[in-house]
Amino acid sequence: MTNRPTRVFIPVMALLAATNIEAASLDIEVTAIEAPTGFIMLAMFDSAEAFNDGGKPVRAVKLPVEGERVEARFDDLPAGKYAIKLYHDANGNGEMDSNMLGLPIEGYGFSNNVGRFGQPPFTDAAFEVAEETPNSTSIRVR
Amino acid sequence: MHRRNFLKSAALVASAPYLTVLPGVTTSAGESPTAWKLGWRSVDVDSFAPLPLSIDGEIPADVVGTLYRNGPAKLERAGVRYKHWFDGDGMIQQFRITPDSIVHQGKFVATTKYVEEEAAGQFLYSGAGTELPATQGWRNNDSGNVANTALLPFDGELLALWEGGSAYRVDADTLQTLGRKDWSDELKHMPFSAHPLVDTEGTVWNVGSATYSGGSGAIVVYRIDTAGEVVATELIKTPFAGYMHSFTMSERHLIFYIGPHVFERGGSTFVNSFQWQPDRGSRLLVVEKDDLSSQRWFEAPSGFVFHCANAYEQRGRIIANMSLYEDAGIMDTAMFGLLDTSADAPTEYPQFPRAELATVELDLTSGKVHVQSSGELLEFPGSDARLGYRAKAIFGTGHAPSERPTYSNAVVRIDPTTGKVNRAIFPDEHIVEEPLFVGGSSGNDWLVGTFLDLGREQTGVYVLDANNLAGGPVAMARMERALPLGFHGCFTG
Repeated sequence: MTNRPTRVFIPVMALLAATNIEAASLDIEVTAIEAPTGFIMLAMFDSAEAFNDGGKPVRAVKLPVEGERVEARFDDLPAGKYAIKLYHDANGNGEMDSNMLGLPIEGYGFSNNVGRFGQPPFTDAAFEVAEETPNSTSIRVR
Repeated sequence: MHRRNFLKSAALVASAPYLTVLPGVTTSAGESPTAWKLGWRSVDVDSFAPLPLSIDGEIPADVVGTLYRNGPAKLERAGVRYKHWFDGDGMIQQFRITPDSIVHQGKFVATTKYVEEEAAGQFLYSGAGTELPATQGWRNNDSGNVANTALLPFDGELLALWEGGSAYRVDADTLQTLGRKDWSDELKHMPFSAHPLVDTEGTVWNVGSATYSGGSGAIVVYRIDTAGEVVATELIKTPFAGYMHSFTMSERHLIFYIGPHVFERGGSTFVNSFQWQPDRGSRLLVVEKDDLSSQRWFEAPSGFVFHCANAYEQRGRIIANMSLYEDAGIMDTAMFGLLDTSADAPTEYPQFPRAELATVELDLTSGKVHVQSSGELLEFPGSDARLGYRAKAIFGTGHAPSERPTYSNAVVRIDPTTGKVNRAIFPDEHIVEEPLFVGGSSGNDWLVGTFLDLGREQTGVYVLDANNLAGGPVAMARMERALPLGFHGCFTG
């Protein structure tokens, strides 16, 4: 979870205006956010290489946190398999803070809500995004 | 026996002639073979309202104060029972002692886990020794924090201690939980053992064991000054990821015992991830208090230690006393058996190698280690802290002499220099818990602790004369309330 977001959140309306009706969209809900401060830093990947080895995400957003949950929507996605990782940058310093042992002290999460000790492999976190159907996923911050 | 005057019977069995009639095992007439399981019954209320105990004998003025105990008490929710004694949520038992009354009340520590699970009416997280299906993953070490192991009076409050994560602050009067103790961001959710030690200067020392860190594990050493701030820490890599529960301290050094109960990734739970690998032997680490980067490792024969007693320095050697097991059977077998209520569970109390009080001598010149067992079973060791690092006597729970000991049924005193043993043996069906030393003002010293009477289903408090255990208890108090057995406590005068 060291990937920095490469894009800030684009308002949903702007995205909708640019939507290619042939492409897929994805609604994302992030729940169980511990404190109403900072940002959810969310990155989505389309390959095991990028997800597992800190590669470039296909989408990344920085979502201001004001309550226990936030939402995001990605449009213009090619259909396929994706996996998401996120962390709660509660103090807004742009990093996932860790303790002396290098273990996270800020919340984090993965799609499919998998991952027990550390980051799960892409295959566990991956989900299908299909064309012309509503796609949604809900991720619980841990 | 339990129909007779209890105090009298307790005093009687403590005298030698009665040793021959003491069964020592669960064979007395009328005792159910599974009576011991009362000690691991789950508590289904959040708190126990104040309840006075009936007292037999006289309470010495020195023990007027408060006895606190901590231990796993929430062992079941919604029909699901934990499998290992480490798993249960911690409940604090408070016994307020006045010259003529003892009143008990109790309350669970409101950890994040406990509060979430209370609201849900079911377990949401797997335990240290129990994997539960469809539970929430641990977010960090404190996700599974049950604050169930020990208590330290600290800054006018109590710290309810676990070992895998943070301490919890508790109001010593009301037992209300005041929050998690975060020393700093860097130390958030860090392992913090249940056995901090306070030195003669008032400095608090502790260790955190992170067997899962890196390839071969690490420990963190904490130094907390008298203002209550962590003023130094040291992260020390260990040669192998051996389980560590406590440590000891001499005049100038901290001494850590690492047995070859080794964390290997891939176990279904934290407890099941440990493997007994005696071929590795044990290691002792000696760290200078004044310079935590000054570290020295010693090799020792394999063994397993939960609890250390005192340590001191003499002519270039460190002499450390500890309760030494020959293997980790207590942790990886017995502590599962104690909680097993399944249909095919054995009725008999689990059998496993017991800890004997042992002296471990480290020669700082030659690097050699000599281990000498006292031959006496003793756990939950303690001594008179007023003496500094040396101990005239080490006290703990123990057993009446028996071929086949079951639960602790005696309080034992061992003179570590001469090896002389004294015991207070409790009557049948009494399980004895950790004795706490209370130094007296008039030359008399006392041991205070709790017991569980399986026959009457009563929990009680004992007071013993620390210098005359065989004389039997000077006071015994009991109540119509049976508490699950706990781990450790503290006494505040």
